[in-house]
Amino acid sequence: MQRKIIISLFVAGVLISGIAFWQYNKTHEDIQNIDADLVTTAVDLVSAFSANEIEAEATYNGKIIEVTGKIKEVTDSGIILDGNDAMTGVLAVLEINQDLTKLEVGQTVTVRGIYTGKLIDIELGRCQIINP
Amino acid sequence: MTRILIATLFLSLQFYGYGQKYFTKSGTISFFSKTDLENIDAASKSAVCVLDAATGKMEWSVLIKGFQFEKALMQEHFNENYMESDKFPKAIFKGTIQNFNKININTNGKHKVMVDGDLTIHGVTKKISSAGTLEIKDGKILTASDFDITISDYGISIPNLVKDNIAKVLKIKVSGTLESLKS
Repeated sequence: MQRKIIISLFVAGVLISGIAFWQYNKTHEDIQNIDADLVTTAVDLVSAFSANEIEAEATYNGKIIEVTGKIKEVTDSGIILDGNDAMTGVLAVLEINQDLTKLEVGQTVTVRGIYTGKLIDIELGRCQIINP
Repeated sequence: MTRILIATLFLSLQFYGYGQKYFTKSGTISFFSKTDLENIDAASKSAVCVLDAATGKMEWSVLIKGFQFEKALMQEHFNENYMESDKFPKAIFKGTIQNFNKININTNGKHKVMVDGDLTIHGVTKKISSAGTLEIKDGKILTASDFDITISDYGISIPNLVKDNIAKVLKIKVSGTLESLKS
């Protein structure tokens, strides 16, 4: 009986440590495989922020957003989608596995990423290009 | 908020002079924590920097949630438990490059500089001073600096369970290629 308890405790211990180790070392889940919480366009997203930034922040905080827009600029970290605003666009910081070379200014794309915050542009992190 | 930010980034610098501004919104800020147990690094490549070439005043801002970690759980703890990024979404540095007026920004060249200013992280502002380089290259200004910060200075508490995994002093690297802002 006592032996069984010891063995059970040992197995439980190994399992728990295994799960903890796996959780600790887990990398990010691919955004490609997660459904977006919200779907919008770059123009609508920018106008939501210029209308009421506090409200928009509350709506988008922590959400996975799918955004369609025209590429205004290709930067070192990703692409900026045109928000029909001189100052603000939607900066999609792309995952490193994404190919930036096939993207061109003026092209319409759809990206999916996590809302990160807003400095000048509205920033989406860990973005994947959904279309094309 | 938008107006406040734009005001901070652009208009506030106007009070110090009407010189040429240099700007980037794809600056890189990374930090590195080294302990016997593990090394942790994370980076953001979308830091914003404005430099006023008339005065040498410089301002950096970065979104805390923009820092990417390799491990998902680490990034979650960094944002939720340590940096409280919903409450303090940005880190901001406002400072001045010393002896900036001695640098000819119209001639290519690499210069060693000292920058002094206020660094705000986790809602706490501290004076810092850091050495860096400023390279003038074909009308662009390439900036780079490394410095250390002590986590406890910024009111960030690390739970006992992981305190041996996270260094007390972090190495920070900042760099960016600033381009002339057409106004």
